[in-house]
Amino acid sequence: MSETADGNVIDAVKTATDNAKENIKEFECPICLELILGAAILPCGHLSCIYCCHCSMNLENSHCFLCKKQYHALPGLSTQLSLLILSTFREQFDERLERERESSEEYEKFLLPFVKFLKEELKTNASALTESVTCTKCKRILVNPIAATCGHLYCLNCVRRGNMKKCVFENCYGGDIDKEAGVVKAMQHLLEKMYPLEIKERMEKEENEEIEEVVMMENVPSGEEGGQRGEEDDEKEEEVHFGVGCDLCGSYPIKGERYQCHDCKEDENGCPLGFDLCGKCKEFDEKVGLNETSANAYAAAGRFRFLQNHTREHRLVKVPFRESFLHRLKAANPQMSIEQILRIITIAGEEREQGEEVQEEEEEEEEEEEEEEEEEEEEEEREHEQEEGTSEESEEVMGHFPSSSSSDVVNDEQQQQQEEQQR
Amino acid sequence: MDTNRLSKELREIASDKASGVSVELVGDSLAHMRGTITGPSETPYQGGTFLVDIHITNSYPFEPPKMKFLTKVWHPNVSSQSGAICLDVLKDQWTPALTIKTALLSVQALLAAAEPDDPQDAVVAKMYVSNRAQFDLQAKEWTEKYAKEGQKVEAAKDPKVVKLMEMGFGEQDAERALVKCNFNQEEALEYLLAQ
Ligand SMILES: [Zn+2]
Ligand SMILES: [Zn+2]
Ligand SMILES: [Zn+2]
Ligand SMILES: [Zn+2]
Ligand SMILES: [Zn+2]
Ligand SMILES: [Zn+2]
Repeated sequence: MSETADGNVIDAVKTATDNAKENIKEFECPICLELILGAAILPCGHLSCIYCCHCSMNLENSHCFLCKKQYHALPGLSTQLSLLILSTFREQFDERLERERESSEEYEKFLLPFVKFLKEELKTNASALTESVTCTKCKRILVNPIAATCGHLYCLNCVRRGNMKKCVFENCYGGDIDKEAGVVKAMQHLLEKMYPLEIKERMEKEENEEIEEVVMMENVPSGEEGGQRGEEDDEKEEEVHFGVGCDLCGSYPIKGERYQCHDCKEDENGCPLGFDLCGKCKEFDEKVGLNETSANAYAAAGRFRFLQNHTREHRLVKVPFRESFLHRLKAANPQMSIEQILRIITIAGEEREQGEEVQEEEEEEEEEEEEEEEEEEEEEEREHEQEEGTSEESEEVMGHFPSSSSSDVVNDEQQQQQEEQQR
Repeated sequence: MDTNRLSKELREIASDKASGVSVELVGDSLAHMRGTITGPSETPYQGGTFLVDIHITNSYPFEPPKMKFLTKVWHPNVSSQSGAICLDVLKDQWTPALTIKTALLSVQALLAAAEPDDPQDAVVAKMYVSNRAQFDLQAKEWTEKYAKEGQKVEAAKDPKVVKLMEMGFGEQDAERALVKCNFNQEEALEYLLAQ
């Protein structure tokens, strides 16, 4: 592909786009059931909108919404796949935007920034479309694409041969490549339609090479050391910052040291969330330096999860670990996950909520009617009040969960308040 | 609550007549629905139509829909008293990639394949394990008694419909008028009176 002039490639993409149209179902986000807007690719190869993925994550252990494989970091925006979707299904993309503009509360804050970024990228980067289907390593058309946590894409064979554990894109922080990373099947199917000849040729050629390779691989000790962020290592008594994720590597929740930017404020400059780094990424920041290019360039490198306008002039401050009631709950029930504990303590809260809803409805409808029922309602209310003690705090956690943000200042304040209430 | 997604789900369920499950809104909000499940064939529930009360929380689809049977069911994983359902996908096995339809289909599958090891109703489960023939008979009886045409589900009826019925209008007329008037009760009443 590198031999082909960009112009030809774009033409080819345009014609092939027509054949590929029927693949749209494979790019429906399993969470919002719309065409994916800003693609996140999980290590298993399953896709969703990055915002939807963020919302679906658990406080402690997150699992793929389709295959339940556990993952530890919110994937970075895959600019490549996002642009491919945008350009291939442009009509449906715009239709979705239109629907969202009318009805979605999240539109402005969480969707529009990605749309702006992607459209800007298409406008300013003449080779953006070519890059969207190109392997980050071999620079040829992707065959069996797999994604690093940062969102950059590689051919399965490039990763296997190179025994790659980290992304090598030049401006990238180096997102992890999962040992068992799954092929992004939806994308492979689309590429097969767009570039039938190139892909077929390469697959045939590589089939032969693969036989030799398998023999080779057997002699290589299965890359244990380095690379993957081992769960076990992190498990050893590290401080867990529930509800806060790292905006560089995506780790959620942050375990160990946490740094918060004092200059990235929510809602400023269209930045939807604050900015946090984990200890490892802070180190990376100091060593390599997040360079002074624009936020868009960072994001293009798979950097900031919500396209924050963070720059190196900003002040990163270490956040002291604060024990919250979540930690105490966890300590009291070490065998249970936070999710299980919360599920149990929220049941009471939800039942109360439901009771109230029904009550409200009734009140509305029966305003002019009998007073007899009022007594009943009062009784109900009394019952609710009794329940309140246990359900209040759980409800508040669930209130901003699952949209508990990766770097939520409010979150912290609420936690503190809750703690104080508890005392 | 993702209303976009919910509307989409409802359209999809409505367009798929063959699935054996259906859903309709109760009242004017997406938060309350009533599902219908046809009893799976070659089970004691065959030929029955089972109504399910569905509540959607604000966190949907990140939290499962809350479902319980409105129709009385004799089944180890369903409370014979309250209709509460013990099913993992409605609890910790829920994922946001599941839908109201897939959840209803799971409930339907549960009717066909009970899990007595994880019972909701101890009495029913005990009978299921110790005397299967008696269980089948009882389940079938209940299907005949409660899950046939014209079953009464007053509890699930929209209170606005009930109100209009109390004023002497037929159920269907009341429903039609409410739909026509966007579930505004007063307008619906005027509409009915003008007829
Ligand atoms: Zn989505
Ligand atoms: Zn998966
Ligand atoms: Zn490659
Ligand atoms: Zn990368
Ligand atoms: Zn990090
Ligand atoms: Zn900053």
